[in-house]
Amino acid sequence: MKKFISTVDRWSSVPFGVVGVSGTRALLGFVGLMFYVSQYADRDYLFGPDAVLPWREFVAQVHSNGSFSLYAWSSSEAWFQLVFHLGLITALMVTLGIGGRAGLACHWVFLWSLYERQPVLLDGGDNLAYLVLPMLLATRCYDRFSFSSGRAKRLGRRLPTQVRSLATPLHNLGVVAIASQMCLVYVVSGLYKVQGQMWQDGTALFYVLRVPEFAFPGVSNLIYHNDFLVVAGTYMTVIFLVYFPLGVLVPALRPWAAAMSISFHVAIGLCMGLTGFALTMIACDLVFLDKELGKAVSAVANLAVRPIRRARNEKEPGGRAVEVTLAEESV
Amino acid sequence: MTEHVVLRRAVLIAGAALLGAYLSIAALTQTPLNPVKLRYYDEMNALTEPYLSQNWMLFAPDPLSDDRGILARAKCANGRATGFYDVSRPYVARVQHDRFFPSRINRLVSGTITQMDSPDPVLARLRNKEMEKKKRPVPLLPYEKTSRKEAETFLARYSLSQLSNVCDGSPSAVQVRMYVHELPSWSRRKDSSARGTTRFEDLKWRNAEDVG
Repeated sequence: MKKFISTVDRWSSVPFGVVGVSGTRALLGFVGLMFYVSQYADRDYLFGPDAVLPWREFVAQVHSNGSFSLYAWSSSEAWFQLVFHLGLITALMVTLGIGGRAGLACHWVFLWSLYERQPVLLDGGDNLAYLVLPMLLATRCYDRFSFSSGRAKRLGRRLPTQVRSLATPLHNLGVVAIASQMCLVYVVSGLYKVQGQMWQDGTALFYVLRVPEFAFPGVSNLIYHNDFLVVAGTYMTVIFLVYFPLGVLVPALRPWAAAMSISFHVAIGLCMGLTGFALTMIACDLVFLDKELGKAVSAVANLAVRPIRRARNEKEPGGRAVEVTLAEESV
Repeated sequence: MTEHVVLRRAVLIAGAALLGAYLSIAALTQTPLNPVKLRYYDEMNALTEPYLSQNWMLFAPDPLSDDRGILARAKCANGRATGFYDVSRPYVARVQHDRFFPSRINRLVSGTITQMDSPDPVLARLRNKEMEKKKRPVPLLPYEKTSRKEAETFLARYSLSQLSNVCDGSPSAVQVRMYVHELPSWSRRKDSSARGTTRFEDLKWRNAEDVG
C-alpha cells in the first residue's frame, strides 16, 4: 500500500514528459497548418459554400452525426473565408507556441469544423490529431518550444492554490493518455494486419506500393522489385506494430521503439506521400522521447551558441586592451 | 508543491480510472470482430461517436492492391454524348509529383469508392460465407442502398465539376464509369507482359440539374 501511495504521490507531484508533449504540440500544430496550406488553392472547391459537397447536404450530415461545424453556421462566402483563415492563423499560433491552451482549444474547434466539412479527405493522421489535441490541453505542452508572453503564468497565479496544485497530476494524465492512445493505435493496426492474407504471405508491401495513389515514381519500384525488401518490410511492420507497447513499457527499449516508429513513418511519408499522417504519428511518438528530445535540443542549442561565444571571447581581449589603454591615459 | 496532497491524489486516481474506462471502450470498438464486440458494439460506439470515433485498420486486413478511379462522359443539350474523360488520374499524378503535403483532391474519388466497397464487417463475413457455399448473398440493406446512392450522386457531381469545359460549358447530363484495374499478382511479378485485368461499372446517366 505504501508503495502504491508513494507512486501516486510521485505521479501527482513530478511532471513527466514536458519536452516530449511540447514537441507533440508544435508538430501537430505544424501538420494542422500544412493541412490548411496544402488545400489553400482548392479551398473553395473542397470546403466553400459552393463546394463539391453542397452546403445543405453537409449541414444535414453534421446534424445526423450529432456533431457541429463552424462552417455550418452560415452559407455566406465571407463567413467561410473568415473561419478558414482564422483556423489557419490559429494553427500557426499553436505551432509557434502562442496563445496557450485557449489557442489549442480553438485550433481543435477549427480543425474539427474543417474535417466535418469534407470527411472523405481524412486519414488516420487526422483521426489521431482530433483525439490527441484535447489530451494535450491537460498537459504543460507550452513549457518548451514556444514564444510565451508569460500572460498564462500571470493568470495562473490568480487561480486558487487548490486548482493550481492539480496542474501536475493533470499533466501526467494527459501524457499517459497520449501514450496509451498510441499503443492502442499500433496494437489494433497490427492485429488487423495479422489477419490479412497479404500481410501473412509477406507480400503486402509489393501490392500497396504499386497502387498509383501511394506510388513514388522511380523509388517504389526499387522496393517492390526486391523480394527481400518486400518480405522483410512486410513482416517487420507487423512485428513492430504488435510489439510496440512492449517496447515502450520497458524503459531501456523505449527510445529504440520510438526511433523505429519514427523511421517507419518517415519511410511512409516519403514513399507513400502520406506526409500529414506520418508527421502526426511522429508527433505523438515524441511523448516517448522526452529525454532524448531534451538532449537533442540542448545539443543543437549548444552548437548554435558556440560560434557566438567564440566570437565574444575573441573580441573580449581586444576590448579589455582598449579599456586598459584608456585607463592608463586617464591616469 | 507539497500542499493539497489528498486532492492531488484523488484527481490522479479519478483521472486514471476515467482514462482506463475510455481506453477500454475505445479498444472494444477497435478490436477485430469477437463475441464481446458483437454483443456490446452498439452501446460502446454510441459513447465514442462522434468526437472520440476512431478507426485504426490502416491498410489492414489487406491493403489496397488495385488501381481504382472513374471516367466520366457528358451529354450535351443537342443529345450528343462526349467520349469518356479520366477525371481522377490527373489528381493522382499531382500527388505522385508532390511528396510534401500533397493536395487531397484525389481522395474525393478514392475515398468515396473505398466507402462504397467497405460494408459492415459482420455483413461482409456473412456474404463471404454464403458465396463460399454458392448461396445467394444477402442483398444490400436499406441503409447500404441509401449510402451507395449518395456516393453515386457525389461521384456524378464531382465528374460534372471536372467536365465544365465540354458541351460549351453546359452539359445537360453526366455518366460515371467506375473502374478497378487489378494489378498483376505476386506470382507474375517477373512477367513483363503481365498487365492485370480491368473491371468497370457504368452508373446511370444523371441530369446535371439533379446532381449540381
